[in-house]
Amino acid sequence: MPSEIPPGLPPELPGLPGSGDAFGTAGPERTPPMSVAPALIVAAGGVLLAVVSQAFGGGATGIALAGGFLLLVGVSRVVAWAVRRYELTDREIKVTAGVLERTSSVVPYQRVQQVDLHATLLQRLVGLVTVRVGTAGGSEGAQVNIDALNPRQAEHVRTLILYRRDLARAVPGTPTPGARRAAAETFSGPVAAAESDEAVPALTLSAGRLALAGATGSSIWLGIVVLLGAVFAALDTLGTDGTDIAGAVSTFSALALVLLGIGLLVTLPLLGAGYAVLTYGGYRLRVTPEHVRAEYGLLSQRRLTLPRQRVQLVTVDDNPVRRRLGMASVTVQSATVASGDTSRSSRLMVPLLTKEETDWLVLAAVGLVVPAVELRPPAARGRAIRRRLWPPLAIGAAAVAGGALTGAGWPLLVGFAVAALVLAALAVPWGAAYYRRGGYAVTDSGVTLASGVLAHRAWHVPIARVQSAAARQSPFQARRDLATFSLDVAGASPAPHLRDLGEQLSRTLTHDVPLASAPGSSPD
Amino acid sequence: MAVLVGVGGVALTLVLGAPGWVTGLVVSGTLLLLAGSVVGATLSYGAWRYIVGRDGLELRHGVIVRHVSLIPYHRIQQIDVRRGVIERSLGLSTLVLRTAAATSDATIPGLSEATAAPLRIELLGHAGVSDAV
Repeated sequence: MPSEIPPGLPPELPGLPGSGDAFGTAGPERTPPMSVAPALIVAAGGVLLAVVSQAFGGGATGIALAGGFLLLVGVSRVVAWAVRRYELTDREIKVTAGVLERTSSVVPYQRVQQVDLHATLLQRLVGLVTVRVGTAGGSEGAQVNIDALNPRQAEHVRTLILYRRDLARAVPGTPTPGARRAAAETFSGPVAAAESDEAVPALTLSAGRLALAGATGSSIWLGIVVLLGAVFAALDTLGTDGTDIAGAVSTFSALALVLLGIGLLVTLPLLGAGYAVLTYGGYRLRVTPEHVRAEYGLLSQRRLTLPRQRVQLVTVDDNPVRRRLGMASVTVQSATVASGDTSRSSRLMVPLLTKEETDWLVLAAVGLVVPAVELRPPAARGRAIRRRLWPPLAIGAAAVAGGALTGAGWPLLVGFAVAALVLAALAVPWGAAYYRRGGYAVTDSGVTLASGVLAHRAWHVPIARVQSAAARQSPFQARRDLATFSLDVAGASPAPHLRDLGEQLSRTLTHDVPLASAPGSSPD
Repeated sequence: MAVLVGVGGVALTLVLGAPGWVTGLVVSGTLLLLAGSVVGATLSYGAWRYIVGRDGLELRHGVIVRHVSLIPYHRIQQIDVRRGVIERSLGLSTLVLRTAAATSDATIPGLSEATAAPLRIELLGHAGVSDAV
């Protein structure tokens, strides 16, 4: 007689010997002793630094201080480990931590938005993985960490959490073990087991593609700004008159500045490329029937898993260089908002995809066919230009007037005026490009909003994910019957928005789109 | 606010012993500011509308920049009633609606307590149909 399927245990997943029972943990449990190893390494580094400072005859106070600090950090991490407990019960994940201030976090499986595995370089050296469980909400508390398990345990925990989440959602409002067992027996969908996910072919990004992603990222703009700065500084140096010798020196230094600028223009993308390869090396993306999964990292390794039902929206970012190459970076977002820098963020970012791959991912992740966007009404073009025209003219006029009043010299006043006129002249092509590159598409199942000239972004929002909507109209927009339309989506900040949409359309959309997000009202 | 700034300004000119025309300028500036804020507040009050619709709450406000937003009832996660010190002394309440999106604009200021309490109950009754995020 086959053994009965225990409540909330994936059929493919055997119990893990040595760590609680097959159902999770037997009770509150410490993470394996090995997880203090990184802390001990840090502490040992501190001791080493202190010894080094002694070797210098106690003269190196700074080194001694740094050593003491590291020792303190290491010891406090060991203590934190000793008092931290995690528990996977039948219904929820519990993590209790803290020495002075005790924190107890409880996450019902049903509320899990996303589960990530994350290993820093130090953790990888000793074979450890941190499990991060994300829930909805923007605060720090929206994330619970189990820090850290050995890789097998971590996989086990992730599979278990995702499976129980699916079960809890498959039969809502039936938390009893008996009903769960019934659910497990009738559960027909593919279970969230690591083995079945591995069978799905992965989209891999080559090192060359990642390098391209890094080189065409924001570092390009930094490089161009630096080069422009160098050229201006060089012109300034050349402009100073003097004797022949001084002239020769200034020509030389101007040349050096420009060379430095060009050097940075080359090295910054190279650095960007190297950083991207290290951060995203070995990128593998899988979209299974249940999840969107990404794993990457040469030094610090990450595996992100987003249940597909939890995906809120997809954003597609490009810039003029990437657009030439027909590529863009794509972010798949759940309702979890991780504050702080991108390296710790829970956003599932794909550094560089072709047009076809992007279309595939948008369809797979949010079920939307990437539409051709419609241009905004023609009045939006004029508005885009005027919005960029008046500020430099006004600021320039104010600067000239202020300069004249305070008795500034003619060269300065002419400089202000020329700078203002140049910026104002740029407003025309810039505004026209802003109009041309922006647009919207509304279908029964989704809304796409796109805008931006240098940093261009398209938001693909399923209507079922819209929380609320708003239209905003400035007096200038009112004169041309235009308005700014925005959609509020959990986890999306800033809200997806588009300026200078037709007033009537944005009113209609503001009313209809959020109401269409009701469970019964959408066609699918 | 204008009154506070004005009184502060006048006090400052007197303490610093500024000439009379400066004090005069500050006083007239304050009066202008006061008149402006009274007119502004009146217009902004006049422009504020909240519409308790069949499926959602619609908010319209703003004099210079006009806002329209719609919060479907099924998206309401939480309703707060906020009363500051000044609001309390005037018997007013601010109703704050929250959805799962942090960016939702859903605050109704300056409701009388007699309006706020039933409105809160009514909105709560509409909310909670679905709690999916």
